[in-house]
Amino acid sequence: MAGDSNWDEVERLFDAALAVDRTDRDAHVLSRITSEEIRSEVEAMLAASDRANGILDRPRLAPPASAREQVQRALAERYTITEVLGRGGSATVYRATEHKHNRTVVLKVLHPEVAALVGVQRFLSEVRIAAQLSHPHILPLIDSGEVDGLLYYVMPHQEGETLRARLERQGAIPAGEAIGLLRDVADALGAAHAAGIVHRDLKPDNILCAGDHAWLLDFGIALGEEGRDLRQTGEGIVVGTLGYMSPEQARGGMVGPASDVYAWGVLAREMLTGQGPLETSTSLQSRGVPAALAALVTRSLEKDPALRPASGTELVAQLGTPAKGIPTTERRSTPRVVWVAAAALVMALGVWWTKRDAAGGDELSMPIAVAPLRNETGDTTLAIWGRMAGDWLTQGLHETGLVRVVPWPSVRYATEQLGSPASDALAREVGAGTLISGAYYLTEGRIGFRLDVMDARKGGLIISLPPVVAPRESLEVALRDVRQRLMGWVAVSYDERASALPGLASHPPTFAAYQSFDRGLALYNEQEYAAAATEFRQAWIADSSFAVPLIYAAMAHWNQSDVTWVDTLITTASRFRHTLSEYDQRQLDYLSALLEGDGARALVAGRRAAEIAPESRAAYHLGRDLIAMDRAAEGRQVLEGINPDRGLMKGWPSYWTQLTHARHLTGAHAAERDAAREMRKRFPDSRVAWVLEARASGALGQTAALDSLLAQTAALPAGTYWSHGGALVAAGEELFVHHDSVTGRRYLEKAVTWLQQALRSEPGRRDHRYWLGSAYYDLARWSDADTVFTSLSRDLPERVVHRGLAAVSRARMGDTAGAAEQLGPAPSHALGEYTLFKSRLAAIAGDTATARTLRLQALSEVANGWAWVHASAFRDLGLPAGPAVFR
Amino acid sequence: MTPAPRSDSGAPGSGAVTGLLNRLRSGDEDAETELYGLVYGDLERAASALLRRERAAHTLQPGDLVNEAYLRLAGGGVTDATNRPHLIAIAARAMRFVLVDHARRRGAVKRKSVGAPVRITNAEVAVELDFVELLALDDALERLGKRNPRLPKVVELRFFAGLNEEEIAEILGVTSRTVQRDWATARAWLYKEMYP
Repeated sequence: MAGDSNWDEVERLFDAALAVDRTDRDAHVLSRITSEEIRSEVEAMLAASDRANGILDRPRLAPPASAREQVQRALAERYTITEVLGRGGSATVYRATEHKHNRTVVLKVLHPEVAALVGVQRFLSEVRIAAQLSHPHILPLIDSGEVDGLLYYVMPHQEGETLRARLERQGAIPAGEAIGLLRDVADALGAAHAAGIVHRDLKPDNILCAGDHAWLLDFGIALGEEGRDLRQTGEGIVVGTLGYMSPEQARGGMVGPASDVYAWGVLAREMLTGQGPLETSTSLQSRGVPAALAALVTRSLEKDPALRPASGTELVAQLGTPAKGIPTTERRSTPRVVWVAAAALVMALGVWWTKRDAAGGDELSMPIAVAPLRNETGDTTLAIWGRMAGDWLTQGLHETGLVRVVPWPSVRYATEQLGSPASDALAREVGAGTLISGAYYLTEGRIGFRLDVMDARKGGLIISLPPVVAPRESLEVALRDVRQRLMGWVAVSYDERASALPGLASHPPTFAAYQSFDRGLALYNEQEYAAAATEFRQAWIADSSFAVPLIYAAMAHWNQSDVTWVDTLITTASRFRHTLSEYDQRQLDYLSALLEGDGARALVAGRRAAEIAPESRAAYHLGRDLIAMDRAAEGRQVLEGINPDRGLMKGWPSYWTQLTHARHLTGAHAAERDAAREMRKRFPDSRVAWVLEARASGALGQTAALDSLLAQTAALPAGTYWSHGGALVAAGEELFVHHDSVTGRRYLEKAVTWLQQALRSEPGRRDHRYWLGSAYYDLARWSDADTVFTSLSRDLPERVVHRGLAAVSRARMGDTAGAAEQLGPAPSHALGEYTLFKSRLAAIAGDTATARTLRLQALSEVANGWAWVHASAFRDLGLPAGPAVFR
Repeated sequence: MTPAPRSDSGAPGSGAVTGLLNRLRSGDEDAETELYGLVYGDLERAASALLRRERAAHTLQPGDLVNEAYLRLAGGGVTDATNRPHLIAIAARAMRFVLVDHARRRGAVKRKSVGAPVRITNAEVAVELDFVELLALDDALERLGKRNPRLPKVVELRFFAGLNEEEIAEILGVTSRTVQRDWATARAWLYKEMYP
C-alpha cells in the first residue's frame, strides 16, 4: 500500500488513468509507473471504482440542493417550474404549471433563512389565515405548504405588471388613474382588516396592476392582528420595507390596520408625485392633486396611528365612489373588461364573498338552510338518503362562497330535537332566511327528487325546482344532478357565477361513508365521543374523498384530550382543505391552533367560525377556550350571548358548565349559582350540576344552603365522578379561600372521610382517588396527596393533571428534583396545562419571576381544565382569591 | 414533524455561534470543534427523536436533519456569505457522526445478528445502510483524511449532506472539476478499502 508520502502521486496517476480510455490505460499510464507500490495502489483503485453498488452509489441521502431543482423535486407531483421570475428579499418566485388544472401559477418559496425565522408551524398557520381572504382585489392563495423543509405558497398567475414596474416605466401616475388603483388597494386592505389581518408589507412590489385595476399580493406572511409579530425577533430583525413602514412598525411597536394605512399613504404619495418614499421634495399640491385626496394622503401619513384613517375601509369611504368621491380631472375609464377578468380569476377558486348586485333576480334572505329531504318512498331503508341529500346540498351551497349557509349539523340536530318539524318551525329554529326543503319518492321503479325553495321570513314558496329522476341503483348520480339543479337556480336567481363554480368535491360521499358519518353525528350530539370518533374515522376510510368526518373525528378526540389522534386527523384533513366549506376550514384552523398551543390563533379562527355559523358550537368553543386562557370576562360575554334554546346549544349541558365557570371566575357567584341551578333543572341527570352548585354556594359562603344541597348529594348514588365527595371538595376549597379556612377545612375533612369510605367499598376508583388527593392537597397533607396522585399517574401516565398534582405535592414536601421528575417531559401538544404546572412548581420553589412568565405562557397556550384547578393553583401561585387577579 | 421540545433543547445561542464563527475566521481551530459540538447535539436530539418513534421504524431523514441543523444555526441571523460554507460543512460532518454513532450503538447490540440495517429514507427512496458498512465507511474516511483532508469533506458534503458538485465547490473554494476529481478518487480509494 502506498504510504502518505506518495499520495499526491497516486491521486495524479489515478486521475490520469481515468481520463484515458479503459483500453489505453495500461499503455498510457500504468506501464509508465515505476514504483510497484504506487502502481498496485492505482490499479486497485481503478478496479474498485468499477464497483457500481457501493454505499456511496445508493441514492443520495438528501436531495441535491440546487434551489430550483430542489423545489421542482419537492413539488413535482403538482407543479412543473417553467421559469424563475425573480428573487426577492424573502422568497424566490417561480412561474409554474399546475398539473391538475393545467394552468399557470406563481409559486413563491421562502428563502431558508426566512423560513427559519418564521418557522413551519407559524408559516402554515399564517397562510391559513391569509387564505381566508377572498376579495376581488386580493390575489388569492391557491395552495401552500411545507415540502422537504421548503415553505411555499401558490397564487394564480395574473398578467400584468407590478406597480413598481409601472412606476419605473411611467413615473408619476395621473390622479384620475391613481385614485382607481388606490381605491382597489384600500378596498383590499379593508377586507383584510375586517378579517383581522394586517398586511404589514404594502409596497409597489406587492401590488399587481392590469389596466386601471390593482390586486394586492403577498398576504403570505402577513399576520393576524391578534398574533405575535413574527417579523420581530429577539435579534431585533424587523421585516418590512424601509420607507413604507410606519413609525410604530419600524420601532417594533404594535402594528395594526393603521400601519397599513400609513404604507398606503406612502404608496399614494409615490404614485402621485413619482418620487420614492424617502424623497418628499415634491408636494402633492404642486402636482395638481385634488385637495381632498392630498388631505387624505397627508392624514394617512400621521406619525400617531390614532390620527390616521383607521383602516382600509375608512380609506375607501373617504375616497368615495368614482362618481361621487374626490373629483378628478380625468374620467375613469370603464372597468368592465378588467372586472370580468378579475371575476374569472377568483371564480376559479370559488371563494369570492363579495356579492355582485343581483341581475334583476330575487334577493334571498340569508342564511340559507337545507332541511333533510322527506322520505316518501315508503322504504325506511332509504331514510338516510334524505339526510345525505340535505348535507350534500348544504356543502354545495357552502362551496360557492356566494351565500351564507346554516351548517348541516345545526340543521340535523334541530330536526332531531323538534322531531321532524314543519319547514317554518325548522327555519325559525336555525334562524334561516331561506329554507330549501324537498322530498324523494319512487316512480316506476325509479327514484325522484324534488326541491322547494321557501322564503322563511316573509313566508311562501319562492320556487319549486323541476324534479330529477334517476334509476334507483344510481342514487349518487341523482344526488349530483339535484345539486346541480339547485346551483343552477341559485345562479339564475342570485348570482350567475354559482353555476360556473367547479364542484370542489365533485361527487357525493359513498353511501357506506355517509352512513358512518351520520351515526357519528348522532353519537357526537349525545357526547359519546369515543364511539363518535370511531364512526367518523370509519366514514373517511370508506370514502377518502370525504374529508368532513376527519374534522369531527378530531373534535371528538379533542374532547377526550386525545391529542395524538387530533394531530393525525387534522394533518390528514388539511390535505383536503380545498374541498371543505369555509366553516369547516375554520374549525380545522381552530383545532390546529389549539394543538400548537397558540391560543391567540385559536381565538381568531374560533371567532370566524362563530361569525359564519352563529348557531353552531363554534361560539361555545370560543367561550370555553377564553376561559381556559383565563379570559373569563370575555368568555362570559361570549357565552351569555349564546341562546341556549337555539340550534346546537339546545340540549347541550356543557354550555351550562362553561357558563358557570365563566361566572365563577369573574366573581359573579350569585349568577354562577343561578346558572348551576338552571343546569340542574334542565338536566336532572347531570351530576356535574350539583358539584357546580356546591362550588357556587361555597364561594358565596352560604353554608346553610350548601348543607341542604349536600344532604341531597349524599343521597345520590356514589358511582360517578361528580360524587358527593366531589361536591364537598369543590365547596370546601371555595369556603377555604373566600371565607374562613376553619369552615373550609371542616368540609374538606368531611370529604376525606366520605371518599375514604367510598374507596373502602369500591377500592381503586380513580374518580374518588382524584377528589381525595385534591382534598389532601387543600388540607396541606402533601405526603398523602403525593401518594394518591403518584398512583393515579401510574394508572394513567398520559394525563398531565395527575402527574402535575403529584409533582406539586412533592414540591410542597421540599423535594424539588423529585417534583420535576414526577411532572416528566412536556407533551407534544396541548401544552398549557403542563406549563401551568411548571409555573406552580416554580412558585413553590420561590422563583416568582419564572412562575409569572410561565403562567402567562400557560394561559396563552390554553390551559385545559383551568376552571377546575384554579383554586389550588391560586394557592400555589400565592395569588389572592377573587376575580381576574390571575392576569 | 412534531415541534421540537421547548426551551431546554432549543437552538444554540446565536451569540455563541457568532463568537465561534469569528474565532474560526481568525484561525482558531478549536472554534470549529466547539461549533461542531453545538450542531452535533442538535442533530443528535433530532435524530434520536426520529429513531425513537415507533412508526418511523428506524427511519432517518438526514437531508432534513442537516438542513434543520443549518437553519437553526443560520436562524439566529448570524449567517452571512462567509459563514455559510463553514456552517454547512460542520452540519454535514455532524450528520456523519450522528449516523455513525447510531450505527455503532446498534452494532454494539446486534453486532452478530443479521438484518439489522439502519434504514435511511428521503422523499423518494428508501435505502438501507448496513450499519457495518457505515462503520467501515467512517473508518476509511478517517484514514483517507490523513492522505488528503479535502477528500472526506467532499464525501461528507455530497453523501451526508446531499449537496451537488457546484455547491461543494463553492463551499470548499475549489472548482467543480476538482470536486468531481476528488469524488472519483475518494470513492475509488474508499471502495478499495471497504470492499477488498
